[in-house]
Amino acid sequence: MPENTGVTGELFDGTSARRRHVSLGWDHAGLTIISDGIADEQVAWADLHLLDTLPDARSYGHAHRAGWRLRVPHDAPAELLAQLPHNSQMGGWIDRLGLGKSIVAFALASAAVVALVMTAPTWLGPLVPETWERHIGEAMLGDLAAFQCKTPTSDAALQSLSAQLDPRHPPVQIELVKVDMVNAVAIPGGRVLVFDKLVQDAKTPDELAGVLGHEIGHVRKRHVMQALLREFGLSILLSGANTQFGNSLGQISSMSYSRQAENEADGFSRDRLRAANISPQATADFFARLKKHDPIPHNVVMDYLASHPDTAQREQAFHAAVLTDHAYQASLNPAQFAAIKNACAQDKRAKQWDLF
Amino acid sequence: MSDNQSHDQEAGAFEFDGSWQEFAPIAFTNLLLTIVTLGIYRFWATARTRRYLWSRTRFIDDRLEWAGTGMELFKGALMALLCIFLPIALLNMTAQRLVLNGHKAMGGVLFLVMLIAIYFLVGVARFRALRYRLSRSYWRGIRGGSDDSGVNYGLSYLWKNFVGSFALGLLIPWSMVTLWNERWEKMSFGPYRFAANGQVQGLMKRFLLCYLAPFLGMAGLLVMMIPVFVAGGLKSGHSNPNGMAFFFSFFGVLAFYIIFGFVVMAYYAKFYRQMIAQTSLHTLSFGFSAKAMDWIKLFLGDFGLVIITLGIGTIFIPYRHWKFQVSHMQAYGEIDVDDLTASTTADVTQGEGLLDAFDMGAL
Repeated sequence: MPENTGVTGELFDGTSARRRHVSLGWDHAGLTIISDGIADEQVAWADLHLLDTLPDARSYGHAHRAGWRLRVPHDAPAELLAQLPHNSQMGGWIDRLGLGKSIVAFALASAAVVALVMTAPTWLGPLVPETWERHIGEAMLGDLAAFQCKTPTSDAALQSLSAQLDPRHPPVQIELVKVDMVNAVAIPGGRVLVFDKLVQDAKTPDELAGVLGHEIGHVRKRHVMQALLREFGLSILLSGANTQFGNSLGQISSMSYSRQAENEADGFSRDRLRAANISPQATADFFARLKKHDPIPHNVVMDYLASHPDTAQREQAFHAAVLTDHAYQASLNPAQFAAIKNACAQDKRAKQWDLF
Repeated sequence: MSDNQSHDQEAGAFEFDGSWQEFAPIAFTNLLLTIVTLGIYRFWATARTRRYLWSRTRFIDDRLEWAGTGMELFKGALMALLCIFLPIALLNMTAQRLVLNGHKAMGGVLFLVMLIAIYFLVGVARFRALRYRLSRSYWRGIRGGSDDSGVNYGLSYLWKNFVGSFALGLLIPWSMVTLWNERWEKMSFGPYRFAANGQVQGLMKRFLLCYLAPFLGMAGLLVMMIPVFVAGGLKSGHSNPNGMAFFFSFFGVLAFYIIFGFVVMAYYAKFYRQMIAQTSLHTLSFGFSAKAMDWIKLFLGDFGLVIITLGIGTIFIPYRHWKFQVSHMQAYGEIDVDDLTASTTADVTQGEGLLDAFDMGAL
């Protein structure tokens, strides 16, 4: 018999729902369950855990016996209650650390995670190998050749434009696609898609050069990878707060750039225009025209205008970059410009790409 | 007969003795911890909430106990993310790519396959959530559970919901009733299987009212419009067409929602009462007393609570709903506690991750 006895408790043994009124004895080794004056069960302290504090009693479970429940009344001797395990209320870590400290620790950790997710894409993006980005681009967009307008002369003209603006190797791949929208996009894998409607709208080859310079800027500055990473990071972060996991990966396809990235791409474009001795005035005129047509951008996915800085400001910036009394040269000759303009009409193979 | 727990009286088989003041510290610390962990604590928060609610629920002469943990809910959600949602997201991406590349038919087929898979998984998820909840609910050291994986239920869920939409949805009550039966008949508590003999009979009249609701809404709107017409007539010359249009559309939508909500509640209250009354466990039979008005009051109460507290009251909604559930639940019959032995069903190892991920509530 144990050293201390005299407390009564209730026991469910887990094999049936029968309630037994038992006496409890205890010593350093553990708890003894005494039923009808006979000690019939020894339980080591380590095998017991507190399940819950009920209004009338504390409920303990057994580490090795499912459904075994012992209820010890709140008015049991303090020595016994002190021996029994204490509550796990909020989860292991929090109980050990205390609520206040836990909240501070979690808040700091969360702030660090948020900061990482917000800033990591900017430095991580450029570190991702370009070949990986190409694979991602292929996985997301597949083969767009069917929509591409391609004639030998138009291809040569686009290549010439690209080479003037960006002499780096390998060159950024510029594809003219048959889409009925004034837009151009940089897509994962170092590719730029120019939509035919933009070409048809262009008054001079120089404004095409300005827009291409902007998109090449996105490619060279790794904005595409940055946007992908940001989108991915945010969706992971939001999946903690939101239970809808389903959409998170799908959102990758509808990415957008930060305003800072847009300004960088515009800056890149102006620098490259200057280096290639192409006047930025045509691009300023293009923005002036956009502003008149469409002061508020439509809510269209991948829209060139969406999330871009204010059109008037951009017009102003390109206009300010024009050097007075300077002899600029035309980026393309009229024949080259016409070749790009006529490419989609001539290439009968190209299919209309209905994005929406 | 001290061990034969009999309950022939209507009142008192189930009783809830918690209080919101006692629950408040749990709810507020849960909210705080959920915020500072960017939502991850919500699994532990759910476990704490349930432990409290279950422990304050008395069935006959002993309290219920929730034995589930936050960790298993977290693992369940993680598994659902990796095994279900990642593949679905990839499938979705592939389908989008096919459409983007001009293979619309193939992309469409893939989308369809994905929708069917999701529908099936929602069915499996509902089954497994119920199974999980029963397996973590103890009474006098005995728990419930099921040995069924829920795959068959998922298939039934898929085709019965599909068939249910036939004939303008007239078969919906049939699909709801048979799915209820199918789900509950696979569940057990202790050594006993639940028996569910839910009938469609008695539900159709209220269900058909749902079809009338839009017309009732229109009539309600017209009645509400009378004072406007009268006022407009009195103040002729000062009418404001924009204000009138706003008034019409605002009250139109409001009237529609109120009337449609009432009618749907009337159907659902009847459905729930009838299903519970037609479900039994060995010698125990059950009842549920909430009428449509009680449900409407519950939801209006939720709405008011959330509005008045600027959203913070949301943390008390699980409490309100559990209390509602328990206080309307009845049981009749006799249990021999010596015969109520341990459940032999498999111990599930993960929480209701799948259901949680689909963002669906209990029952």
